[in-house]
Amino acid sequence: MFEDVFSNLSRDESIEVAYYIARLLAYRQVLATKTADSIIRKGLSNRESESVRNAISSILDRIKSKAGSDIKDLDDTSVKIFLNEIAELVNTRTQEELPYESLDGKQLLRQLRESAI
Amino acid sequence: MSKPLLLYSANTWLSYRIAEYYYRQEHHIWCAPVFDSRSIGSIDMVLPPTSSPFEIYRSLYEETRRGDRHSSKIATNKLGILQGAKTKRSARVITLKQEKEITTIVESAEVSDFRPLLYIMPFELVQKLLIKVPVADRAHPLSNEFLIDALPRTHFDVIQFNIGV
Repeated sequence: MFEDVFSNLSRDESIEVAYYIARLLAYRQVLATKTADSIIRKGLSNRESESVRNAISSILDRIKSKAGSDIKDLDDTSVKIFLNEIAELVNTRTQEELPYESLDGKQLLRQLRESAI
Repeated sequence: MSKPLLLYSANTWLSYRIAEYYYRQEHHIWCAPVFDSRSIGSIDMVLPPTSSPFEIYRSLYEETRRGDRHSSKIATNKLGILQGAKTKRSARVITLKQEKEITTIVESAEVSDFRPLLYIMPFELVQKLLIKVPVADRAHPLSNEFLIDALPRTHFDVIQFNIGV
């Protein structure tokens, strides 16, 4: 549903777009009184690029169209489905451009756990 | 509003450990002067549920306890960690190799690695580090939320507690 949007973005942009969409969906209940843009800006350390902003708008439009409702009215199940699809696309993209071995991950996780106080 | 005594922030064990291990024990957090907005009567202290540290903690607690692999809170936290790693790499706090390690860790993590932790910090101690979110950018016009870009570990306490469900 969102593949073509992400295919036009760099990996960094993909992460940024997915992160802002996730924030926006988390704050969707207050969208009645706020604009999507004002929520998207929340937490930004750098101003997003035009391509990131366009991708966010495009994804929001598709979510609204697919769900047949405003973002603020989405239920938890729909949010979970959309968010997981977006996260999966980012994961795939990350694996393609920043390949990793699952074995290394387990080892690194063990390291993190063992270094905990 | 008078100065609060404490600030609260709910985060995951994984994001805590990554900041400890890779980001020089400096933590990027959102925090609020109230733990549970439902317990506060004053309208000045209103926080939307999604911003309340208690609500964030409770959701993460329940979803990790259930072992919910498709939890939207966990998906959001993963994206937050990836976004953080990208930002830290751009700021040259970490290398590309370390960003790759963090990505690998996030993808290999188990649901239980996203269990919640509560950070508590004295307002006076962190006051100078607080970035007040402009009214226009807040989740709720009346909410009091702060962003801290690099909170040293020495400035907050971490607790973990069970919730009866």
